[in-house]
Amino acid sequence: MKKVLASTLLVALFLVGNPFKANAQCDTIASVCAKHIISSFISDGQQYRSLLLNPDETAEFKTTFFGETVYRIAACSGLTDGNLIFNIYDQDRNIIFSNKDYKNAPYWDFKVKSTVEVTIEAKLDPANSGSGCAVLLIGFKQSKK
Amino acid sequence: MYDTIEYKFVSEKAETDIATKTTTINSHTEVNITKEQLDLITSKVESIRKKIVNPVKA
Repeated sequence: MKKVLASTLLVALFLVGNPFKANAQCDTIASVCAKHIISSFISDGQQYRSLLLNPDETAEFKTTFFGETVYRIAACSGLTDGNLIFNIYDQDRNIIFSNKDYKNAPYWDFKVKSTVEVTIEAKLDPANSGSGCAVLLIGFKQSKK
Repeated sequence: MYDTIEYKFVSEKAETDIATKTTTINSHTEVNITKEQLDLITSKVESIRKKIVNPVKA
């Protein structure tokens, strides 16, 4: 009876403990990623997180880029830069940007002339062995005229 | 009310400057709105505002 109880407790601890571990890992990645949102940008106050288990999985976030604004998108996975590929599409699903074309740049700025709705797609780079936690951060500042 | 307003998304090629790590998004949305449609929205907003500013006391 004691054995059954002990193994049940072990399984319960494993199930309860793992999400915390994953969450802590995401917290660390988010704080590493935050260094790309430099002080001239204001954070949008959100952390876009997703647990990607393999390079085939894709996380998708929809957001609005307001006109006359410069946005900085920082994308991280793992503790080093360049593990996450991110693509930006407009509302007609035309690709606007992919950091894959720029050596998986961990951040990029977007100067927006007129308000547009965009979709940000993030996936792990199969060439790099990053963590499964993908974090996207968005900062913004007023565009200089 | 907004269903009658014409929206047209115009996709234009984005320009990327590698040196500054900046992409300029040139796409935009064109909105065609008549004076009548705008007046209708204005009066609706006005009536909603009145309800908020001067709520009817029970």
